[in-house]
Amino acid sequence: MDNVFQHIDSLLISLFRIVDTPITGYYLGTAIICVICFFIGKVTLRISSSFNSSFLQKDRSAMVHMHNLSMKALAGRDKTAYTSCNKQANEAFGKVFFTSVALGSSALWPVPFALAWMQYRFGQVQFELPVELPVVGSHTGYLFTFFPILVLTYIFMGRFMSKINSLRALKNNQVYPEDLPDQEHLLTFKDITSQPG
Amino acid sequence: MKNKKRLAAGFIFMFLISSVLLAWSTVSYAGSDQLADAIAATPEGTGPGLINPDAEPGFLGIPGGISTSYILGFLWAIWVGWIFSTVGAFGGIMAGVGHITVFGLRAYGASFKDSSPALNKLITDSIRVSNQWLVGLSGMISSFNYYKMGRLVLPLGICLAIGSIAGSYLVPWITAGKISLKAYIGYFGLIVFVIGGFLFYETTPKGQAKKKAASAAAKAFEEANIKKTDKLSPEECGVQVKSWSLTCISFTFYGVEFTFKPIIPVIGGFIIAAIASFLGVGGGFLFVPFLTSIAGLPMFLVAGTSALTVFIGMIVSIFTYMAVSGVPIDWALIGAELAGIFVGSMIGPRTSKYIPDIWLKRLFVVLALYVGIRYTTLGFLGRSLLPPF
Repeated sequence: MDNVFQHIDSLLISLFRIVDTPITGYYLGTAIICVICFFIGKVTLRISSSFNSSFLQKDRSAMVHMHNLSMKALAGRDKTAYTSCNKQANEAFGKVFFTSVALGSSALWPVPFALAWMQYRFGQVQFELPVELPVVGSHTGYLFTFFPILVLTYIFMGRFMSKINSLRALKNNQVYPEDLPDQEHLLTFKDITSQPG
Repeated sequence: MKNKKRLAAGFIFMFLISSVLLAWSTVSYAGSDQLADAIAATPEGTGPGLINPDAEPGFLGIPGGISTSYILGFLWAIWVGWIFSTVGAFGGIMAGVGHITVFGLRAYGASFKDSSPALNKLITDSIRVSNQWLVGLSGMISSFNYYKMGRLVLPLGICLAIGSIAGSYLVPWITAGKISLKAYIGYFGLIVFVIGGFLFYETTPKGQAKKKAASAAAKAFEEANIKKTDKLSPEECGVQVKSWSLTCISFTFYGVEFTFKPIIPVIGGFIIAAIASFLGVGGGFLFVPFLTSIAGLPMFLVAGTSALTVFIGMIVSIFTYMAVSGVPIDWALIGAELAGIFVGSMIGPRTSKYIPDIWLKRLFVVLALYVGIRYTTLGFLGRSLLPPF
């Protein structure tokens, strides 16, 4: 893998040298790497969920249907029916959960590769902290900044994409699309209770 | 919406703190870390259990270390992804089997058993935390989606989170650098037996009958044309606590009465998080049935509560392993495996319709029996009773 990193190293490190100040360049470069991970992940998530959308919808529909039945049983104060329907809904949820765990990897697989390069490039670099932090100590490495920047990138890019028409299709894509008009919707407690007034 | 804003504010706060700290910081080159110390403490040489400093770096950059094949990692992970999308929980076990056996890390780590116990234990921890990254990272997005979709039962969530954080912190803190590969494999084998036992129960006539009874009751309710009921009055809405003590809380949940013991979620959260952290798995496969059984909560509450608890536990555990105990991992291998899981999860739903669910479970019961016997005997007896010996 180090051979691969040697080939792409000059390209990636140039992202960290856009500005002259090293620490600013480090932040900017890390943010750009996170944006690249975000886009590659979004595209592969889009491909994977559309490839199997009919199967995924079938599983999700079964889960929502059983859950809604359990809610209706609850509204009818039928505890036996509620327990049975809820058990079925939870089983369906287990299936949907693990499939989505596996499909979720399509959105995040570029991240470890980015971390592998960061390890190759910055693994030996330690940032000495001005104060000693409990648990962390007086030094820290690249992971300390990478993950907050990654999470912020996902939050901000998500918001940014919803404002750009051509990117909205990617933004709206989830492992299990939830609000298609022709589907049964997940009932919540509000649906089974009376509205005041 | 309010929660989302709080979450975003939390991350921004974390970012600002780290920015401020780093802006004031100076940069230096690491002179030593856990791995470097362990390598330095290992006798030099060219035989098994020795380190040749002139050799090419292998696993984790150890000179002369085993060369983990990323292609093999990718191919094995296709199988793991397929299992995740067909059988579910057993995918995490197979991810562990990949790290332990298929990629040869057990054999490599075992070679340092006598010559360098520190390196042996560091490789064990690396396997544990790699498993957790693999399952946790791919679970992160789905957990977040379920958290958004579901709701939290806050008191229950807090009880679970207390137990979960304690288990996720204490286990890495107490065991990192102290568990030999041999012992880890033995315990891993025992857990495989437990999961295999659950799968087996589901295939027995009793397990099937229970499932059929629940299914029939649900169908009967559906076919009874869902009697039109009056909606609940405002005072009956939500959770109404009827009585509570340290040993028992009784509440009505939209008119239906439930009881649970408050200490159970704390102990349950602790035990599940401790097992998940010790073995390096997500824990979702234990939280979901646990939450359903303790209070019979509706699916969408279980989804939100379990997803958040798993996520918190995973973050605490990984952070403790890596930040507190300095455990190194092979990121590129994790990347290759995540890509493989993604491919496998695309194949799974398309192929599962050709194999009946019960036969799929029976197949994994046999597999669990094989892996369980092999790992347990290898770990506790020192040699495997099943091939390869």
